[in-house]
Amino acid sequence: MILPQPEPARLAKREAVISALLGVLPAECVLHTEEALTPYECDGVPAYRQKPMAVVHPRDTSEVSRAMKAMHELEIPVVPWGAGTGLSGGALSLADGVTFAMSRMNRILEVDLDNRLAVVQPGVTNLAITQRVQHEGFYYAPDPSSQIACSIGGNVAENSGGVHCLKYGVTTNNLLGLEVVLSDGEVVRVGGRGYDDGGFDLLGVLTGSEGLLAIITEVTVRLLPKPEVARALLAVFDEVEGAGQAVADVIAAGMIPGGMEIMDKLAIEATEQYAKSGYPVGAEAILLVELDGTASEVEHQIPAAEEILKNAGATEIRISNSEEERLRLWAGRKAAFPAMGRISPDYYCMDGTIPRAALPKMLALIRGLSEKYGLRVANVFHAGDGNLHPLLLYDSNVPGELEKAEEMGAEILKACVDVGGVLTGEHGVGTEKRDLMSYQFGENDLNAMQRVKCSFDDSQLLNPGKMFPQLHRCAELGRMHIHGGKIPFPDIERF
Amino acid sequence: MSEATLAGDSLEAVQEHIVAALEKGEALEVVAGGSKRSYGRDVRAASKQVISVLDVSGLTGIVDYQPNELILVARPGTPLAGLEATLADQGQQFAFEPPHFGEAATLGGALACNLSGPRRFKAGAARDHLLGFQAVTGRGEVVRGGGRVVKNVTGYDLSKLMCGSFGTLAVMTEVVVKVLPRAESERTVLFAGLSDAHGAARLIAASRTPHEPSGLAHLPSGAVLDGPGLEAAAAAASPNGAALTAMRVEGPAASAQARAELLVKEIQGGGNGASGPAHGGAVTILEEGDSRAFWAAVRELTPLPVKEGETLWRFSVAPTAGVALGESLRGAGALRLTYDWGGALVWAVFPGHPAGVHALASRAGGHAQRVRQGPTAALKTTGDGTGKATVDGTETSTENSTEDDTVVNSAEGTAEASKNAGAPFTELSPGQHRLNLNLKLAFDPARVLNPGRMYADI
Ligand SMILES: Cc1cc2nc3c(=O)[nH]c(=O)nc-3n(C[C@H](O)[C@H](O)[C@@H](O)COP(=O)(O)OP(=O)(O)OC[C@H]3O[C@@H](n4cnc5c(N)ncnc54)[C@H](O)[C@@H]3O)c2cc1C
Ligand SMILES: Cc1cc2nc3c(=O)[nH]c(=O)nc-3n(C[C@H](O)[C@H](O)[C@H](O)COP(=O)(O)OP(=O)(O)OC[C@H]3O[C@@H](n4cnc5c(N)ncnc54)[C@H](O)[C@@H]3O)c2cc1C
Repeated sequence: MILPQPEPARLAKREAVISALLGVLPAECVLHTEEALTPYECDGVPAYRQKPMAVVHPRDTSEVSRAMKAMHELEIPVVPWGAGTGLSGGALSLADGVTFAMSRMNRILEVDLDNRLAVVQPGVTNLAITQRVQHEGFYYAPDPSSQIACSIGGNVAENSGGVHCLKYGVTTNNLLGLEVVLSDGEVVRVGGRGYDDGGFDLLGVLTGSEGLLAIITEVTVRLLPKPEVARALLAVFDEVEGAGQAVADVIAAGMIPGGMEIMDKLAIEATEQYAKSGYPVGAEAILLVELDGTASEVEHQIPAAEEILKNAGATEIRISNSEEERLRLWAGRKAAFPAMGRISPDYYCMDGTIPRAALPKMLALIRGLSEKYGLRVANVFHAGDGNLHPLLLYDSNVPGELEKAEEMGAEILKACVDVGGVLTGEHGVGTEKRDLMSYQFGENDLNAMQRVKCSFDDSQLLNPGKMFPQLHRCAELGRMHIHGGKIPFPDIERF
Repeated sequence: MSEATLAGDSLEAVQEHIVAALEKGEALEVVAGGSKRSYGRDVRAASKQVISVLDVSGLTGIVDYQPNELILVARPGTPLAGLEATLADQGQQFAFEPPHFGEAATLGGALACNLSGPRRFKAGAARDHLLGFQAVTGRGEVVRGGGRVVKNVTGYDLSKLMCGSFGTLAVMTEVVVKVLPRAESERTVLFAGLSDAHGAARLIAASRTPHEPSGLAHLPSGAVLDGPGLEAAAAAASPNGAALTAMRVEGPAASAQARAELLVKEIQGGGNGASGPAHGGAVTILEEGDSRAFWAAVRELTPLPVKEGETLWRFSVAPTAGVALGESLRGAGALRLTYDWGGALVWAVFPGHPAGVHALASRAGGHAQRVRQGPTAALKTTGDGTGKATVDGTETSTENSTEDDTVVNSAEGTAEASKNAGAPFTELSPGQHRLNLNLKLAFDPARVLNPGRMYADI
């Protein structure tokens, strides 16, 4: 991966940038010494590192707006930073840019249970929202495994998912409104407290925009009443394909479980060493199914699900009978990523989505690649929606292993596209998958996306170098080829 | 209906017509059949430009349906009714429950209008179910967005822009829609005779329970409940056409029944922290068939008929703001109202074109859209074979009657009348408007597609 290259003309403005920032923010909110910048050198992808010229910690929307405006005037790129847990290098700082860390904007501004919503600042962690409302029987549904640390602003920017998203949707399905700051400093609100907004779905397009369209300064999330009960089933299989078939059978039976997760042998082994949750070490695969909802419905579904899993070849089925047991069944899965640290110095997490029917084919392919590259792979899937997380184990101290892992990862992602899937199900494109975008999308498709970028940020100062293999100048994209006749409304401004 | 002038019945044809319009400096009105044609602004009224009809109702058929992957790939002109029957055969449905407003309503029309039914507050809107698409933009370029899998964050979520853009950015030629299992059964609790305020309070109370209601509507007294399957609901409202406060629960029959009974107990008793009043309201529980018929009626707005010269408006606000807005709308002349989405969606019928509704909507923190106006103007192809449409005053409506103040005999006249009628959509904030306009010009810089359909310049 070639990191975004700094422009000397911008590096030369470093002094001016810092003094402009100090002009709009108090000194304690502007970091620019080497050691102060170190925490912002990399996000959740340690393989890519770059320090920004400065980091700012705005405390409210108007500070974001003023700092952004100052950077706009100086033509300095800005990278929004939530909690830095992103897994695609989306928040990777730019050496000729300024990183806007949103962590000080961490207040829950309002909870309105009659309207089932909360208004929060972007630096609030995902879990903090649920923690604030759970004693009243409510929760915020999207639950990325990183929820204890990741920020809601980062969740919106990545359109993050979680283990419960097959049933309850990902971030975009659980938002009502946003306040954002555009690259020229203008503050715009989209959505609101009702369900539908007027005009184009700006809320929808801002969600998942990876910090390239605007800086999110306030989020109105939907809250849901906590399901009355949740019970988990853990089924053991002789082969991963069997677990995959069981998932298809559950869906074919008309059930949409709260979560369905598959882990393969190596993943089971690693998590068992780390979390000791009693998983069957040595088994080829386990499938976790969580059924949640009203008590009457879950009671109805448990025996049906058990029957389906048995018929699909489960050799053992455990069913939680208490909240404690349920959490124990999940403990291993929740610890899957950190557990990799026990069996490998480094791991590289892939995130493609495939049509579930292609699972056997993908598994065979991953096994083949694992042999070809000589790297072990542990598989964890959000099985219900076909979102794969192959974890490629490597050692960055061994020269060439990182590059091998990257190359192998790219092959896996291309294969996901080949079978009708996509490059990323929830972690985003960021720096990491930028160059693969043209494998999934054609030139017209990418140009259409870049025109969306230009509609919000024609200065292209927000998070450049991410998402697109090559960022075209907006003026260049605006050109339209008209044969013969003239464009109507020639007086209308275009870019 | 032979009003169509340019047949956009394939990707190539759609592209060809758009490119031709670009070359000639003309514009196109994108119509799938027209059941939602009077939703929004009259494209023809907006300019004196030559505007041809691009009829995409011929872009039909299922391309791929994989129940186990929860996806349906179809051409957007496919009628909703047939698609829903195909899904039902596999025990599935569009969870967003799109209203049809006419027998031949199409999938593309529902998506382009982002129209969602009573389940919206639980299951999401049309925009939450469009996973991917292929479309021809106003630049004449074929663009794909999204994908064919249910979980995808690769690049910007362009599908969201297709929904609710009323065909002003691109003409969809293929769509990938998420489909979900249909509940085995359902029940509906009806409380009769509550005031609007009390009914709405009970909807809010129900929305706070863990019983997973999937329909929460309040029909003030006077709602029209006739039609097959509505006998039980009508009986609940009899003898005087009392108001009905309705709560639907879906799931296996035993579960639905149990939850319906719990709702009755908790909501009527005002227990479980519910903020609803403890008094009033005879209770009926509708069985599966009656419940389905009732919510189909709520979805299609049959309890709220729109008569000659009247207009139908839709207001989206926070759930708790619904009833207060409804009261102010009555003050502004609204004749009939219904509340859906737990109070967050207010439908109102006005005589003619009301003044000041947008201000009332904004004050309530939401926005307003005019969805229908009595009978619609017919669009007829002139016999000269050029495919140019002209507006005439021919009466076309089947369900409603004759005159409408926007139906006049010339394009200029229509523009005049439409101006008098006022904007159908509440104006956006300056910042939103700027972004909307930039997006319009990004996709359709020459304003070929439905110019002026949503706002004067969009
Ligand atoms: C005058 C008239 C009277 C009618 N009366 C009846 C009747 O009484 N009963 C009955 O059953 N049927 C009736 N119909 C037919 C019925 O209304 C239409 O059949 C139905 O197909 C309408 O399509 P629609 O509602 O899906 O979308 P439309 O109303 O055609 O379109 C809605 C919006 O979506 C946009 N759109 C549609 N397709 C696309 C696409 N592919 N890509 C992008 N944007 C798109 C349009 O531009 C428009 O902005 C009537 C039709 C007309 C014209
Ligand atoms: C152990 C682990 C488990 C994980 N599990 C999951 C999972 O289950 N599901 C899942 O989806 N992800 C998961 N992730 C990935 C990551 O946690 C999510 O992508 C998360 O949403 C990132 O949030 P953040 O606050 O850390 O954002 P960052 O990493 O700081 O930033 C992510 C992106 O968002 C942008 N951004 C951040 N804040 C803003 C803002 N206020 N305005 C505009 N743009 C902004 C950044 O520029 C960047 O492009 C996991 C990560 C780890 C380390």
